[in-house]
Amino acid sequence: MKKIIIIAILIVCNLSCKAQSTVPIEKLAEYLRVEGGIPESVTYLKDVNGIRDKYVGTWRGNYNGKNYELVFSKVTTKTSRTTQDGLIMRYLITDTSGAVLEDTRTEPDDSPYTAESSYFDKTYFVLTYEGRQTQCGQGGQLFVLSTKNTNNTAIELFLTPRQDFIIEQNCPNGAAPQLFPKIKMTLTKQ
Amino acid sequence: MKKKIKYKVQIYIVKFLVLFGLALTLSNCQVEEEIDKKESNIQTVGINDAVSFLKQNPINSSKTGKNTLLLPDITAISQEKIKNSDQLLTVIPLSTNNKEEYSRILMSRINGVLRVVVFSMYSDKDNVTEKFSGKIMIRNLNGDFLNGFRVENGIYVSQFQILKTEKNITKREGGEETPSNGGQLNEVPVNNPYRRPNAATPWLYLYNDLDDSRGGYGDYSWDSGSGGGGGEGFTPPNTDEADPCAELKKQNTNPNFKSKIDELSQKTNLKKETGYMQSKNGPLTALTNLSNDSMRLPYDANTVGYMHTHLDDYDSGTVDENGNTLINQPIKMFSPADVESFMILLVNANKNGIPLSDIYGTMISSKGNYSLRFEGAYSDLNLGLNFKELNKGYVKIMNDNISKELGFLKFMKENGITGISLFKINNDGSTAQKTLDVKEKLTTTPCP
Repeated sequence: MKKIIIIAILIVCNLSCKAQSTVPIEKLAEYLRVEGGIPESVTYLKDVNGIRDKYVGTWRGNYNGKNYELVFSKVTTKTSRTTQDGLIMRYLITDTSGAVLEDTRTEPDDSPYTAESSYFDKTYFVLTYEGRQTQCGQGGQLFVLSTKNTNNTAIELFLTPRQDFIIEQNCPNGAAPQLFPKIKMTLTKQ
Repeated sequence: MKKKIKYKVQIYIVKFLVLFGLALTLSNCQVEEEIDKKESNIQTVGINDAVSFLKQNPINSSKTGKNTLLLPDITAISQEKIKNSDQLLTVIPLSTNNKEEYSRILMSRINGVLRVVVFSMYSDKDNVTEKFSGKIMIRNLNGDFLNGFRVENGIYVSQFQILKTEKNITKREGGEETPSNGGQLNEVPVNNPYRRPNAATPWLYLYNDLDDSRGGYGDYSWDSGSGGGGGEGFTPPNTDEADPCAELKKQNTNPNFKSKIDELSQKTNLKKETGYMQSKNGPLTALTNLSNDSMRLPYDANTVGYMHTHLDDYDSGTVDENGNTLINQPIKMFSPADVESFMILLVNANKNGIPLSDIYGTMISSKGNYSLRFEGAYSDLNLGLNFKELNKGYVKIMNDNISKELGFLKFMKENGITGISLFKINNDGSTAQKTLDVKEKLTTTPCP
């Protein structure tokens, strides 16, 4: 009898422990808010609820004289400690005359100009974004928001610019302009 | 049966210990012999010997071209430490020392021969730091030029050498540059000046005609101090100059520096980062904005460091589809750009003869204040790193680690950034170094 109880306990423990190490990707926002990072027991952030499906695909919108085309695709990245399901973003930005301001649509996954998700929440996610002129301040965190009552045909986006130093000698023309808006803009599904 | 074996084992242990002990003593003897050999090259000149020598041998100045007697201040005679030797350098300042010229007679017995030189320091007029900046001239008792250096902030940046010409004696202005033996001086940059220990004069600079082919003299040096002036005599040696703990302590107990840290600590709740940069003579200058979102970090030949805030979490001003506020969560630790800026200051320091141990970067946040210091050799700096490529990986590592200290150290290790050390600055001004042990666990080593 004793033996059976012990085995039972061991099995239950094993199962629950295994479950602990994989969590839904949208838990990361809570981990960051509450604990400041992913707990050591968690090793796989998995998209078990299919949150990424809301965003995958091509989106278009315009704001303040610029036209945007964003392409989101699924990706799974590994760090030395964790595996995470995520999204990467490539994009095309043109001005009103059609001149290309930036086009990263053919950049490889690991290019610095391919934005990569850093964390997910239930209703939005955040990307680490570097512009080609990142040395002169062009970059930051892009927030991508899902919208209600649109049947997933619209998303919103805004930029929180990076606040790092700009080495004056590296940027004789001053800070580079930001290509993404700091005020929320809307994009529609293509 | 058991007793016999036990006895045998004991005998073996004793035999082993005896042999081991013997080997130790023999090897010890060998080592001591070597040290003695080295030490005998230099010997202390006794005070009485020095005084009687000076009474019998007048010292001449080259300044006016005639033989002017320089008077040693025998009452201020001292015997000073020679680094890496247990022998002492006998030092006698001149009685005519002033702010412009600080000269001392140095005496040592080298390979049995009494060697005497006059070591003169000419301080730069605008020098306000603790370390010496100016010219050093080394002459013999007749006032003939032997060797000379230009020093900037304790670093020997160039050497003066006699241009071998037959031209006449040149007219003197300051008097310190022209040798009385009729030549002109050529100034040649010193290789790798940053490697010289701060404020210490290498033995081979003092006695530059020594035969160092078998080595040995290269380890000796003497702390010539910061230029004294007015017959102050012995200046306490600047040991631990290159020790970041000591540098940080000096910095964190400086009231001006401390007040800026306190001021910035009150500003982490703003929506913009703020900060100061520091120049080598001390002044802290507020950093200005280059754009709405970033501060400019200018640097010049005098820049030694920066301090800036990383912000508390703040409202982005936007809500999600449910009306919930979206919060920006800045990472409260040095960013890749902060590390890049620190490296740029190191490169700048190396170019301008500022000791690399003076350079710092400081981050102030509500989760702690931290400093970066350099502890490696300049050649170890990973200058080819493309910081553009590092941001995505940095964010991932920082998210992986609840401890930002641990995350930062792992980030540095993963990218092969060596020589840069992380220190936490506590509220009471004490500091502790943070490192990774072999198992990649965080280790905290408080500074003394």
